[in-house]
Amino acid sequence: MIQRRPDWLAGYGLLSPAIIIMAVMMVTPLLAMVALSFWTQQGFELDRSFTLANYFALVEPSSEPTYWMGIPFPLTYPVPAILLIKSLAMSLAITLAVIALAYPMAYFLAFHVRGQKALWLVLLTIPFWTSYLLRVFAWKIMLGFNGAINSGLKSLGILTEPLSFLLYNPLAVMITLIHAWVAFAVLPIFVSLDKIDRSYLEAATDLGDSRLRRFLQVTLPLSAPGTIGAALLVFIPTVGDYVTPTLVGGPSGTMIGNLIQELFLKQNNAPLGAAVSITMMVTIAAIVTLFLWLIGFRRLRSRAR
Amino acid sequence: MAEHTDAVIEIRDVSKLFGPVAAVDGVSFGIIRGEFFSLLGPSGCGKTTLLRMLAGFEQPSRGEILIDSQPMAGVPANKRPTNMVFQSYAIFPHLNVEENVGYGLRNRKLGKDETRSRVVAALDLVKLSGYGKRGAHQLSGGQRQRVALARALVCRPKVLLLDEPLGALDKKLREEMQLELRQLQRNVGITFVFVTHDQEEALTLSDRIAVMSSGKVLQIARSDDLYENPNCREVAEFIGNMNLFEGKVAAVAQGNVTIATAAGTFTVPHVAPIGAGNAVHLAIRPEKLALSADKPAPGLNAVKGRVIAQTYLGDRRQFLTQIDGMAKPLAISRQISGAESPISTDSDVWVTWPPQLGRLLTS
Amino acid sequence: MRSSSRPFYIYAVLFMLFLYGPILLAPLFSVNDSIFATFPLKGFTLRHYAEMANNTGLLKALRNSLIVASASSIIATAVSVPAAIALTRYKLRGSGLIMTAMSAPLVVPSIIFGVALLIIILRFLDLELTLWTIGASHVFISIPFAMTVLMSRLEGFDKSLEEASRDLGEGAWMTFLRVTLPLAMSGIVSSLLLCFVTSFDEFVLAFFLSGTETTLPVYLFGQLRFPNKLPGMLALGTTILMFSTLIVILAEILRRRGVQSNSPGEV
Repeated sequence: MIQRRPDWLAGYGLLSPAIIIMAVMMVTPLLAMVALSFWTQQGFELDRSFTLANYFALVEPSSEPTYWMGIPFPLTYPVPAILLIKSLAMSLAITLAVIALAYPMAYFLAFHVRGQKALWLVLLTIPFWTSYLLRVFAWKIMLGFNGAINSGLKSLGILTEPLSFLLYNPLAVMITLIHAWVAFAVLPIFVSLDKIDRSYLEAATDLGDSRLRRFLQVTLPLSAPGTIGAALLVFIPTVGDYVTPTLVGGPSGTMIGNLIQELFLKQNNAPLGAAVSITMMVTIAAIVTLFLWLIGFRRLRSRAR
Repeated sequence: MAEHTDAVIEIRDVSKLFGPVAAVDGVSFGIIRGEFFSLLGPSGCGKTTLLRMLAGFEQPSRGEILIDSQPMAGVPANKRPTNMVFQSYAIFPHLNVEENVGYGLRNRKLGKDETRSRVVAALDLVKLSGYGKRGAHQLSGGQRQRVALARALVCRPKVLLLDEPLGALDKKLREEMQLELRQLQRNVGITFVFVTHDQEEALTLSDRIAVMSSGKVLQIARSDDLYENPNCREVAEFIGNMNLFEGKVAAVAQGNVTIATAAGTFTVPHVAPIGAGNAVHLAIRPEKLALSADKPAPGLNAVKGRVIAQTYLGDRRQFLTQIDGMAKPLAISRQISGAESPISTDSDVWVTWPPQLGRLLTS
Repeated sequence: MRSSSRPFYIYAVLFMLFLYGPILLAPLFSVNDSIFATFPLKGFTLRHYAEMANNTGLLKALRNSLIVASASSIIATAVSVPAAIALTRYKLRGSGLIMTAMSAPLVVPSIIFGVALLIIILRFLDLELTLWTIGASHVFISIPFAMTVLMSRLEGFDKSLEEASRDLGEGAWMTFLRVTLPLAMSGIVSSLLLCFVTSFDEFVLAFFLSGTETTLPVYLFGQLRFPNKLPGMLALGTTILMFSTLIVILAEILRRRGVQSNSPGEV
């Protein structure tokens, strides 16, 4: 649009307000958090001498291991490690369930809906935009001791005593998070399925593939980038979620996010909280990178173009 | 090169680099005021880039462009005395026909009545009177093209730039619009610079044509001249069909050259000095070749071959004749008048032509 | 419908039931004449809605939410329009990296940004937590949404339209006003609406960055501890739900209309 000055100058000029906001709101706070994680909290005072004590506290060995799910954690302060492993495991299970539920829906939208694609897509998007807090709270009403399921079954005469195992456990957290993310995951999968040139599928059938074989040989590999993208979009944020475990998790359903919140707002140990946050982020980043490297994501993506 | 006194555009040694790639590579020529000038070449030859440099959307990496003797370096598109008809027409979808056509008049300090009458006149010119209130999306392809023309012409540019404006139309409409475009250009007397990859279109419309390839201008000539006297193999093969004999200069005498090819020895007119032994091509159009079963008269170039295929094309018949020693068969085009004797496929024939119809290509 | 579609269709309907069923419990119990969210339903009442009008705490939080959401959606869209133009109209070095960085708020758990912002505001800058801090964080998380909507709108129309305007004598600024802005308008409005909803419904950052003044979701969260406030909160939740849905549908309609009028230039 602008010709007089070099193009790139005008381009960066137009970008600069957004870049400045991103830098101020994202980069500086993250740097501050890194800095804080190398300091220590002494009562109400902050000791600003550099130390690795916060990180050391997370891995300090102990001769008496703490057991969680039969796994020994030989650490003096095992809570962060246990919660991190637990959160990762729960997120993994959530992600797999979300993909398993979302894929057929995306497939239906891409291949079986003709006229009203837009309507289905809007219906899928609406819950994503509406209050996350309310969606979580709905499950508390649903699963509670006096909740919709228990009172409903009781009033139908199926139950005499309410089921107490519905709420306040990891499963309740997982169901709630699956519900919160499943519609969101449909969209990237749908996009990658919708992009597939229908003549590839016709060619596969023409060359003698059965429907199942065609799906495994053509459709699934070509939709892999969208599916993997969806999986990451679910996995990464759910590891750090804390609203859901707070509302429906109970003591057994806590996740790493709860610990971070507690260290900051209740235990007044922000430096340790910062160290836990950074450890969580680095762990997630490492897992995602390793995963993408293992499956050769670049190759997959370039193939689907 | 046209160092004409009345050049409206002068292009002096202009190059445009995109990274290491030269889209336009050291081009120099002039465009004469009032002519219909075409830039012809295959896609990617640099013709659109050259046009966009004239419009001011790209800056030359080297060289300079003068319009009306004014250097255009640093002059942005909105300050140039040129207007453009875009390949996609770029009709503003949020404006109606009238608003589209009047778009460029807004900042010209014209009175309301003046603006109105110019818009009406422009719509009249492109035969769209009464369409002023139509929305952009209510127009057919041909109408969109007319709006784009009116919108550019209403600004009274010194040069109108047209980027493959007929490419999106179907064949019949395209032929109609070609005729109209040519008449329009004569009526308004504005210089048109027309980009196309369609050689037939260029030959039909243009006063002069520049043939481009790989960023360079190969030849600039009038339509008939370009067809009859191509200056190199690439132009010869790009414009129409051409048969080529590869050979060496055997003898030079009295404005004629004798060349030795794998298919025989032929004579071809040539005046410029050339030495014996030079590698050259003899070029001859299919319609200039004659076929006969009998041995030809002396004085004609003649070569013996076998008809391997023939195609009926309505007004003419095309024969492919295999010649010993040549990789590609010769194409011969013969008008169908009803009087000629039939030639069957697989028969042995003589292909002949008068020496003065052949052309010698040195590059 | 082909016969092979039937199982998929049934699945899709079940999927939608799973998606909407729990969410629709809130509206259901909000009009139930009982302080417990239990079956069987006791009777229809709008009492809980009427009571909201007298709840000063709620009204204050609502006012705060409206202020924060309006301000942050306008700012986020205002900075995203030039950024989206830059990324769609210029070939810029590092634009891929910039886009990745801008989409970080979509992926990174918001608790990370919540605590990081809390650290810099309290420990480094020594500032108070106010509606400003919430609003600033909402601008930041809204930018990726604004960018997505605006970039797809700007990519949707023929770039030669802007060149045509330049060619017809308009400068950069007038071209923006006369061509780019009108054509991108549906995208801009849609971006404003989506950023508004993003902020209006946002909880985690608002929770961490609230001082004495809070937004509606944080207020709601605080009230959830009191069982006797449940029906009122369900009524409030339902209102938020309906309001957000309305805005999202409006934004979608605008966006799609924009996409349709995209390229009438194709013949």
